[in-house]
Amino acid sequence: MNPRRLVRLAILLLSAFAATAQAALNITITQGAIGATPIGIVPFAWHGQTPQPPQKVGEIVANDLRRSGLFAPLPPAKMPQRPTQPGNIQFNAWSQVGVSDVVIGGVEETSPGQYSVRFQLFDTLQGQQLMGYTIRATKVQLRRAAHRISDLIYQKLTGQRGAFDTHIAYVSTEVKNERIVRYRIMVADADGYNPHVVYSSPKPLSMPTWSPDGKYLAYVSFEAGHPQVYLQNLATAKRELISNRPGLNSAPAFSPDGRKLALTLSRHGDAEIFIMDLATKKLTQFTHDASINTGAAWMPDGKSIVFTSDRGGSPQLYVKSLDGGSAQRLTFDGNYNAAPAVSPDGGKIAFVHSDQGAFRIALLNLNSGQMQVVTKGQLDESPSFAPNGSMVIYSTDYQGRSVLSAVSVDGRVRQRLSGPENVSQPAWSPFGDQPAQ
Amino acid sequence: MMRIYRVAVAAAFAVLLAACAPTAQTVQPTTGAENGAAGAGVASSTTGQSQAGQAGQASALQNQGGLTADQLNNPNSPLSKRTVYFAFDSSEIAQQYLSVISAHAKYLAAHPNLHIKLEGNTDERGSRAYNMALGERRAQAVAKLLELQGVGPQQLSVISYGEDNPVCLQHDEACWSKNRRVNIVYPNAQ
Repeated sequence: MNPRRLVRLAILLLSAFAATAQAALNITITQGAIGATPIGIVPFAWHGQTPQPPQKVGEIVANDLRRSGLFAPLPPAKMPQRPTQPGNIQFNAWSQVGVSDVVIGGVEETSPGQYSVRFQLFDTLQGQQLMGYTIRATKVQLRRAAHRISDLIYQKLTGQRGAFDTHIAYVSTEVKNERIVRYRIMVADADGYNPHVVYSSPKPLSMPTWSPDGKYLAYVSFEAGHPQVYLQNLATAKRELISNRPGLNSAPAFSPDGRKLALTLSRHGDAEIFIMDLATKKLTQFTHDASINTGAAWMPDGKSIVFTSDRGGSPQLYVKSLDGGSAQRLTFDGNYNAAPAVSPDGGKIAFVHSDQGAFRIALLNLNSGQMQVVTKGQLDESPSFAPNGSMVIYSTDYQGRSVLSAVSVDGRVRQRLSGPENVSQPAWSPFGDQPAQ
Repeated sequence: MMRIYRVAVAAAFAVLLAACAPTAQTVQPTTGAENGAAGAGVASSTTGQSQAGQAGQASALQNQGGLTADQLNNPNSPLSKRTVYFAFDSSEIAQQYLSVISAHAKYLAAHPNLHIKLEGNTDERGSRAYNMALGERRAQAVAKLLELQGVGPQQLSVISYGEDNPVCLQHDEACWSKNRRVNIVYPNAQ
């Protein structure tokens, strides 16, 4: 990873969300994994004009890794020592308390408002450095620098790319006198910090979805009194009305190459999925069935689409190739299976499942055909995979309010993201940029 | 589509029977809780704004025999009932709403320049995208019934809000039953 490139990206992306700030979402880990790997993330050193650093980078990294469920960072009070320089690490002291990986680092204010963040990862059994970087950042970039450090550590130790330096889009609703008075499309960091308003309206806004490059959101807006699909550039806030046809304009979903948008229209009476070429705006009808067909989710190869249809009498998932051919039914358990999301590797589908009772998120393994219900709520909906496929975020009801929850795909780790308002319809962003070469 | 058509034909037949009945049918929502919702809708239609809107139509009404401007705002008229409720994941119109829809059909057929909105809604459960389509299917079911009774298609706009425009925000069946609805919305009336 080239640190200079990292800083440039940080500047670009952070300035992209310069809108009205809102209260952050609070993360609560509701179920941690048993058998998570202990890791030592020593509080980072601080050299600067103020007594305290603007952000506690070491703490942000520890929280990120803890949230993944794969790591159990040692509380600072239980650390055998708190070194900030490589020469001071007593490798034996760490390996004796069962910690084989230690992260040390420091934040230095190099000039007013400019910071240099250094971190090093050590293997205490070998006594060797596994990785070390210095990242430059301004004050507002420090949290992002910490998430990038988490991503690098996670990838080094698990072999899987981290998804800490990503975002979530969601809908926030403001209630007054028992009515929703304002709808907001929001984007926040994946840990719930730095929430920003993307668009706000007294009329319903729904179904935000990311373009594969992470630069745009598509969503449904009722600002004109009927549903329309808008495309909004996150950096410039510029909006484009992309679909405004009689009837439904709903459920937008970008193709993996970003060139097409699947969406649901009802211009001939019933809800059908169409594919729009984003360059020419030309529409091709994808489903042809006089029932409800909606909720398109692309397979990662862009060659077929999973969707919801009630052609068999109840909502169920189907898959159909863009080359033609008939739709194949995927779900058979339960009287309600809808709202599919496809995992980044194409191996799993997350969806809303109900069998005459609670609405929960289930995962269908496309290789084995096995279905597993992975959530425990009554009103779980809108599943969305993390870009590394490790977790599924969804909305649920908690103590009478709508909150976001995330569950690891193995069901072992659960967390809740709740805000001051009702929040729903989470969509996890793609990765911010290409992985380190 | 087949299913909606079947419902509509059956409903139209029922409406004919209802029209022959000597007394006006009363319409009861399926639960007590829904009475509250219907009541609120009626109350708001008696605002000054809506009365001004209806006053403008008065002369046209009287020329077309029998109907008066007051009918739309008269709480005793079936026209004051403007909400049709549905069962979960269903767009079938229950028997009890047929006379209400019939009254609106008669009124709209007598006033061919009048244009209304049929707003379909669902409860919060399940898929957002599916609910958006289900809300539209409910509103289309009401539209089909009106058209079968002489209302011009150009008089009707169908809009679905899916689950995004609830009238009740609690997470229980009492609320859900109020939200699974089609609102018949006249211009200048709430």
